[in-house]
Amino acid sequence: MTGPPLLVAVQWVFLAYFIGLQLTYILLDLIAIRVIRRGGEAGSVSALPQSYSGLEPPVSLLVPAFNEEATIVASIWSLLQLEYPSFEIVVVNDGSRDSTLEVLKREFDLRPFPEATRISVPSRRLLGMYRSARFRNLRVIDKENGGKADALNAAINSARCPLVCIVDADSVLQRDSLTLAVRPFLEDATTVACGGTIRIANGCRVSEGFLEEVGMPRSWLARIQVVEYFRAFLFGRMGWSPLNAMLIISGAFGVFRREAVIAAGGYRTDTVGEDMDLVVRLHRVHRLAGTPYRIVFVPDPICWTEAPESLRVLRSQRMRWQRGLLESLAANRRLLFHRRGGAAGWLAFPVMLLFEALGPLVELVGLALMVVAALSGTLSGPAFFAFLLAAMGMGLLLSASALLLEEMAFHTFERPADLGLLMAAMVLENLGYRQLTAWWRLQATLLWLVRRPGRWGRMERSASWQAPPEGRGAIPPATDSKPAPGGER
Amino acid sequence: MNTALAPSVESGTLIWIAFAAGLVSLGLTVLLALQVTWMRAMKRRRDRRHLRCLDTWRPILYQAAMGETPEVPALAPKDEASVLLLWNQLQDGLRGRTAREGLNRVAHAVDALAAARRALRRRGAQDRLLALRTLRHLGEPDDFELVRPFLDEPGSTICLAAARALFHVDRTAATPELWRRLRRRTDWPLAQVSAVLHDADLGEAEMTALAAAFAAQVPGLEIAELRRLLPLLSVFGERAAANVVRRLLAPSQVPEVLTAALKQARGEELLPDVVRLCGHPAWPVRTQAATALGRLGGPAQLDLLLTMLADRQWWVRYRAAQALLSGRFGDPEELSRLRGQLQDRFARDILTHVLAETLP
Repeated sequence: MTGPPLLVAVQWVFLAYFIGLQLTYILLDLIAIRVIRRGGEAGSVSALPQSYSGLEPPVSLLVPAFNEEATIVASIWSLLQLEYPSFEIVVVNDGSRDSTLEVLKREFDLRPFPEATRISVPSRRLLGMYRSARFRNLRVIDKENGGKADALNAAINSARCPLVCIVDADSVLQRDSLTLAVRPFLEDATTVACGGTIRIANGCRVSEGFLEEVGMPRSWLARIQVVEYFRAFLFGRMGWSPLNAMLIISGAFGVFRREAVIAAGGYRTDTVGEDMDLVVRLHRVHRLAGTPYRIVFVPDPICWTEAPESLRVLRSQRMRWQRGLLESLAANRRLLFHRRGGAAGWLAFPVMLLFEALGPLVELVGLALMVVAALSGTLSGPAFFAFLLAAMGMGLLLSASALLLEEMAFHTFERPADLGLLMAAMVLENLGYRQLTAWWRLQATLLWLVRRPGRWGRMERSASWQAPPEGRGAIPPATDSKPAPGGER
Repeated sequence: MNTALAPSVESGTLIWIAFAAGLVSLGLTVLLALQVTWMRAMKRRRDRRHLRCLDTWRPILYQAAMGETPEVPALAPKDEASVLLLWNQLQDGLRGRTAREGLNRVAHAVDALAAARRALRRRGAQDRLLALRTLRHLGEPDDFELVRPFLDEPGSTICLAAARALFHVDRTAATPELWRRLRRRTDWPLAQVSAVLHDADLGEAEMTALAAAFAAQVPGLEIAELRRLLPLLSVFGERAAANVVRRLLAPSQVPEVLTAALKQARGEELLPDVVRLCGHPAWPVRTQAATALGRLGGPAQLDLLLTMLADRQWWVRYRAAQALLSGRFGDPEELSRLRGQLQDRFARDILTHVLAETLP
């Protein structure tokens, strides 16, 4: 090794970081493979004829909506047709500036409802309550705009069932999603939350709120995100779940025990990462109190959602996720290395902090140093090439193992050409995409450090994957500037 | 992220390690890609074979289910899983003795019993579930001992599929087998255990035996166990359940047990206990007592429920209002008039709310 002692020390830090990162991902990958191999039984449940006994806990589906006129009707139709014996739907119109409420009133024949309000968690002022004259289990809350977290708090106050299921208004659920996601609550009374796999709906065909055909997105940007989602869910979530250390449940779909959420204080309204914050807080509250609990991941594909197809929207989403991650970790820092923190406090939290929160910083500094060193002649051509090869190879290997997990468990994309596209996306991800998202995340980190307030930014939806409902004409594209729905993390 | 390795020195060894790691990773990536491609090709081949098999066997099984006697070809070992799956789907979907007997004739002609027994010995969960479903429909007494060990498998899906099969083979012998494990197997979803018992169509004798076994165990159950197992009382019938619940509604019981017991309170002989618990200091108990009054009470408890409409807890008020609208305390019009006489604003609001819920 050459160079002054400080430089050598820095090099060792980078080396240790690199080794730790790869080992962590490889371990999570191995755990996920084990889960999939043993999970053949759980995966068989959906193939069995369903019979309900009436002892299944009723579920309140909570749907926050802000400027969702393009997708809300199809989403509610899909929810109304879920296969589950007992559920209610509570839609929250969070001060939409478009015709979300009017569309709902027209489609579902909403009538004013004299609800005796109950306040378990605080939320902004309610403007009106409605109930569908067509579907008695559908209610709509109209309220002042307060963001997704505030809308969910209002919905929690109105929910009547012991389990609440959070669903994004632009997402499409599988018919059996509730049956699958409620199962962990039936198998273990200490389960407080359950998340499921989220898939990208771009390229799929959805009609009347249901997925009719799975397809590959047309844009490379969305295709790369398909590979990213495989990695995030197949070993990001599946690896942590058996250790009871999963720190994230997607804001697009998650089932929670209502009383546990209320006891933890409901959703925090001063963060853009309210979904992650709630899950980390549930860990913290239960761990520190020494109360037994489980937070579980169901690997079956449960929910389909739209991924950004423009760099501007993707940037906004990734910056929001990074900020949400930092805010959640900072707000729940007492969990880190707490003597009762368990796997969540001693493994998942430090890994999140080191490799996810600080990842962009280390990665980009590493890249910059390598380029500068190569240009200045400190690093030789072969060394530059060797390090680049190692970096690319490791990235590809992790993506390929996620592809293998997907093929072992679900093989969602049936067409042979789709497999080729996924492999190409896997390669392309390492050629600029990963570095670009790291740069955005680094920007978000710096903005958070200088305490600049977080914003949701503009989120555009094409809803192109939704076939127009019969007789209603084409669905217009929607544009919103959201303080609302979270995407995938 | 991996470029973090980048500034790591100009040492020949480290460069060589980085180069080797990159090459090995790329090599493994190619191998994984090939494996995924091979798995995909195998799956397509299996799918094609499955479809061809269905084309052959679907008409045969349909004819058999309609009471006809089709010519049954020999079943190739590779087609066993496909045919058994279709056969089970038809058994689950079709009703009537003709269909069942016709399908069973085909099953015997192709020796489905032997195929299912072979599948049961395999390690795959899918194979085992298919085997258990088949053995359940065939209901051969000899298979009881073969299936019983599967009640002790680690996952609940196989166990409960085995329980379902055992109840079809010999429900009298299956009842104690299930009960013996129920307390220990906290991972068995009670809703599905209940569905197994419902589907088993137990007779009076088996139900009484099960209820007696439950009642005998109650004194020794922990609070958490009681809370978990009490919902099963709904399967046993009103009288058997009432006997167990009455013992649990003693004033000395902890609120968790009272709440769980009140949820199962059926039978008017429990009414005095329920009325007493309407004033319990713990609000979850009052909530369940109000709900129970909606099932068991009558005009004599009207004033009590009206008082509960003004309870400080929202859930007590809500369940009391729902109880009032259960039909045992007057029709909605009478209750609507009564609402106008209520002095407490919270009571009026909750009754208005629940009256609106009952509107068509």
